[in-house]
Amino acid sequence: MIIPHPLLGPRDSQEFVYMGDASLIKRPDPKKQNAQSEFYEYLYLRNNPAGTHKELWFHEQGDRSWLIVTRNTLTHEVIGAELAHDMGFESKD
Amino acid sequence: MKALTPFGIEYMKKRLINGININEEEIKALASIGCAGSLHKALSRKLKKTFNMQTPSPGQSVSKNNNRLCWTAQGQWLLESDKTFSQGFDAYLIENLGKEFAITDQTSGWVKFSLSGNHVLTVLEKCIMLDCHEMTAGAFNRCSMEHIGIYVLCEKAKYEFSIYGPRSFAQSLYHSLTQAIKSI
Amino acid sequence: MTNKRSKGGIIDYSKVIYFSFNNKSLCGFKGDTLASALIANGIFLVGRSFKYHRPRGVMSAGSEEPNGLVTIKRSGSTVPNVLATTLELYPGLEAFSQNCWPSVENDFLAINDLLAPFLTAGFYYKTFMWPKSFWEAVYEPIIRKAAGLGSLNTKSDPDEYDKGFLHCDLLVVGAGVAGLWAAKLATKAGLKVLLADEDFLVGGRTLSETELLGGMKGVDWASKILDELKRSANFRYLSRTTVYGTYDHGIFGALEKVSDHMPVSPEGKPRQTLWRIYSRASLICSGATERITAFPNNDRPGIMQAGALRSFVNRWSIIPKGPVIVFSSTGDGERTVRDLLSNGISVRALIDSREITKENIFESDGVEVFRGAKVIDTFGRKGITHAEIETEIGEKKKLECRLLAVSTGWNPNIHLTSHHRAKPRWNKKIHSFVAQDKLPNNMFVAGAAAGVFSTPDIFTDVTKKTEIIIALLGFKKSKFTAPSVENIFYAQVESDVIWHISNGNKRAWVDLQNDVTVKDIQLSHQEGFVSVEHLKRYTTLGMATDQGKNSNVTGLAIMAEITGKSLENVGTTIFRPPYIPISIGALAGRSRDKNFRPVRLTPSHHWAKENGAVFIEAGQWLRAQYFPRPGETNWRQSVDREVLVTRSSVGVCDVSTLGKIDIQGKDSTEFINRVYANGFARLPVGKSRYGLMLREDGIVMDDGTTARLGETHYIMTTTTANAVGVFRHLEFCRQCLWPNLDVHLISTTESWAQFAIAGPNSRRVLRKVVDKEFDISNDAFPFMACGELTVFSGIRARLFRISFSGELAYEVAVPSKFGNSMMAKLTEVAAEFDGVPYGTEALGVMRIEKGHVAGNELNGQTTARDLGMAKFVSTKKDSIGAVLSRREGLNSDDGYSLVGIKPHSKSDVLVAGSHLFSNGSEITAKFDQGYITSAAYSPSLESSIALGLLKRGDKRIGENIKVVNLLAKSNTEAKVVSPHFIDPNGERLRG
Repeated sequence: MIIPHPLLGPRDSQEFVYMGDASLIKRPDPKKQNAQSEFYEYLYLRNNPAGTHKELWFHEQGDRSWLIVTRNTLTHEVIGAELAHDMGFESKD
Repeated sequence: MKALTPFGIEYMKKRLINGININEEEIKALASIGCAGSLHKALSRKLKKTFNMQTPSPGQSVSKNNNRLCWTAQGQWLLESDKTFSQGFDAYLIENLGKEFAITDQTSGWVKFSLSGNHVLTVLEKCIMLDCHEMTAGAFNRCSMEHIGIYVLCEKAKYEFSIYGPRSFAQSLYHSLTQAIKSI
Repeated sequence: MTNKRSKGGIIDYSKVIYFSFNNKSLCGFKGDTLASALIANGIFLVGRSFKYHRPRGVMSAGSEEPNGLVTIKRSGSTVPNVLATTLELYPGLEAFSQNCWPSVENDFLAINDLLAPFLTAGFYYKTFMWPKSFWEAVYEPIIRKAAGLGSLNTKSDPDEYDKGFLHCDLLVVGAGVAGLWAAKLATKAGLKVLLADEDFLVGGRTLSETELLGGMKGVDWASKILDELKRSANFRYLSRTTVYGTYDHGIFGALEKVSDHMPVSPEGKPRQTLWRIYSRASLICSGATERITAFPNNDRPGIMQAGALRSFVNRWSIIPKGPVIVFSSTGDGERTVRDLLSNGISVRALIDSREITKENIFESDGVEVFRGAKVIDTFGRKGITHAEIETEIGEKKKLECRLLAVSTGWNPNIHLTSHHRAKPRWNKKIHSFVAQDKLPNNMFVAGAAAGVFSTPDIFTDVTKKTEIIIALLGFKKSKFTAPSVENIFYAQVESDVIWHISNGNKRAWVDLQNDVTVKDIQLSHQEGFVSVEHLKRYTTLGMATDQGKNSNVTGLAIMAEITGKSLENVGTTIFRPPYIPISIGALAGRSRDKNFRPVRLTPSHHWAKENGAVFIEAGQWLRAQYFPRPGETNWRQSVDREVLVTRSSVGVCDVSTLGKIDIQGKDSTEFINRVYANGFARLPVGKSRYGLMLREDGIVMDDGTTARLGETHYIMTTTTANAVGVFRHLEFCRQCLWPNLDVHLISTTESWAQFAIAGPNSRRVLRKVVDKEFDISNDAFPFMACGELTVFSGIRARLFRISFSGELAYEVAVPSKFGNSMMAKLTEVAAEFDGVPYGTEALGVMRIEKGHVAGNELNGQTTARDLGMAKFVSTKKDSIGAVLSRREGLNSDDGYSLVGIKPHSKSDVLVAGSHLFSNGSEITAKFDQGYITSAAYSPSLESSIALGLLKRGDKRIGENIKVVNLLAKSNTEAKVVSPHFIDPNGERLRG
């Protein structure tokens, strides 16, 4: 499988480690009253689409960046990949 | 107290196998520089002043006066120098670039092998997933080889490359490289 | 009797090759395969079939061969299941028939053939059922011995294998007419082209046919194109290379036979190389495989594909003894007769199943032509002697023959097009499957693989497809004129298809390699196994090493006929890689034996080795386990000594393997405070603190110490095992959860060598190590202090006063290039106090004695509360895992608690993994109270001790319990004690 790294170009997925659903980026607010149930949903409940899906991959054998990859779970087509956090370096200078 | 190579000896290993020179190279000074997005301009200015270099783009490195600056990640670079800094390369860099950057000495942490020869690409395509055929001088990438995380630097297109590996993997890495060279 | 050879063909008669088959010396020539050399020597009986042990000969000339499997001797070993049809002949080749005893001529197990009625599909499930115990002990071993394809010798594979990675714009699979032409067009247009063919020559089918391309023989035209291509820098050719698998996104797997065609691989060179190919587009020109219809007794030696016979005659210039009968349902029948006659081979008859009216063009050559006829039986056990035919009008005739060439259509080789699930579609015109029109990842198909069989049409087809690819990748096409094609001699008349022919109860083979007949398919249907997936598995059709290349389509067609469905609706099973069998050695590449994975050496490895250390694998690391002294014969002696000496004087241990992460940045304090459960916001500069790290679900992930070297500079340690995982987690927090924090992480595990100096004399040792200007007195450098200083006259170092052993202890770090020398010097200084180096074993004993948790306790199931560290999860701040650590389920009254366990008797041994029970309780899972996580012999207490998790353990200190080890069948009386066996008040630490 090839992951189109936004900065480094297409790379073999063997260089990456898969973490899970991209929704893991949205950590719930621990101060809220129902924090426990929100954290429970955040960690354990998932949609399981047969189709496009956003997921987190860590480029462990590359630049150690976390990427949000959009992949079609039926066809394996990888539609795109973006940095989880773009610091905006590479556009200029 | 003696400094030793990762192989536990004082001299650098040098071999010629199948027309490929595989030489262990001494790393005199190596440090990583980390920089928050907002400080990038400031870092660029300091780098230009101290080393006359600009930060390279992803997959690249720039070199001037035997100093090389390599892109390793967003907001992170690896700087190598062929001078020795008795107080520590990181101390020198903090002094000259400033305290606002994350500077970490890596001099001891890596082993470096240079591979050169007419058939070096034939060796590299056995080891490395990246397309080394297309690399031009200065191309710098992190990848893995036989489950070891390495840096690959193209010194001279199609002819000379340097492979950096973590110090503790030195023996395994050297073995893998020499096996690959023997097999061509 | 050898057959004659014409002087034509693609054979180098100047190079004679001596080889042996079943210990019989024979000779052939360079350019021969084993199959062609055997046939040239008149040997048709090559092996025995899998189940029935029927005599078999080669039926093809290519990699689809189902019968001609041999075992060869190679590199002092043997290789089974080698295809005689693709094995290049080399001097000294020793090949043997398989699956027969005592010889292929006289095989005792041919008795299976008589038992055929009992050995039909699925027989395992219906016979040999009683008595039940006999299956495993008696029946199965016998059946297993009686059926098989070659056997493995159990020695280690002596050959070397290699792996590699190739990148290209266009991968062209197959170097026949289509592939070569595509490569030519694409290379000229500037694409980086990779061309692979499994044969040792290019040309594909043209090597076996007599068409002229541009006035040249196929082999000459092909090699001319290849020579031209090789002059381009953007072209690369992989010979003897099978592209065996299509993977996602343009990735392909290919196996190159580097030296299979040599008696021994040259020194240091691999036998085979496994290539991983990255492509932007691919063109599958893999040709087609001829099918022979399933007629009664269609499996005898001498019965082969008509195309194979043409290969043996045209490419390998063999003139076999006739007479030959050609049986065909297509125009290839006439082509075959023509080729045979022009080589002086006697042809008895052409059996053409098509009811077409046409004159007999072979009348003058004495060839009888039967139209609308079919072969209904054959005779000749060890080689065909007669074929029985049924004419148009139903008349039966028995005709003499030594060879029967069959041509009933071609199946495009479409495997590679559907490895990524694109199901093939049925093409009515050619009566076979072809690939879908639109394939993923820029894959295209051309030539015979696309169902285009006429050579001029192939040029048109491949030009069109290549031009699409060239445009798709953004290049400009070039213009070339396809060569003229002459000497096409096959009647362009509509071909017919016959899937099978029945004749009473006589067996007709569909899958030759697995011995599956038409009867088996009928039986499968009868028993309700009707879907293609069931048909395959119930009959084993298509499951042999040839993976149904010759049988899948026929089998499906027969099932379609029986069920009354059309073939479009029956569908096919999914093709999966690999297309050909791949040796495990090739998949392993160079990663084998000692080098199967990399080894990490510690900075003091060489010193340890020189000083007699015994090593242990700790994950990827090789660590000193203990340092035996002369006179010590048992590891316990060494370990006990190391513990006792360290606790009474001083010991030195290399602890470099623990993960070290350098954390810097304006927000580093805040960051660390969020990832650790306990508070770090007010850790002063110059101090370290134990840190407990939770997973977001509240379970403990890791622990370590974090030292604050500066205002915005921390060093975090992790356990050795979790170093990589923790780093990954921290980067997740940094990049994904809190991207606005200014914090930078660098792994410095490799950069620093770190040594523990532990024991009452550790400060005295350190005083001789640390340079004089640094004050390391108890007041200046109290427990948990940290700082940067120099050692041994100016070597930069970092000192941490932390203790894993429970003794007064320090850890000193120096740049790893000084690691080896440092260990030597430290032990030298320690020796002045009769101190010793110690290894991982003593390290483990001491931390268990002290009651420090480690990997065994941080097992992914324990919480802070379980480990007696509930107070470490701060309620004053949020941190990863804090919220869910407060879940009801993780805080029940009945929960685990870390305790110490001591056996009543000093001679009892506690073993980790043993389970804990209350005194008097039933020893069943229902009453299980917990388990031992770590155990060791404590020389300090002269007793076996353990740490464990016990339900409500903190409230049961002093209770007597039972420690049960069901594997060792032991039940030990023990007492629950505090986990801190040594210095529970930590006085030694602070001295």
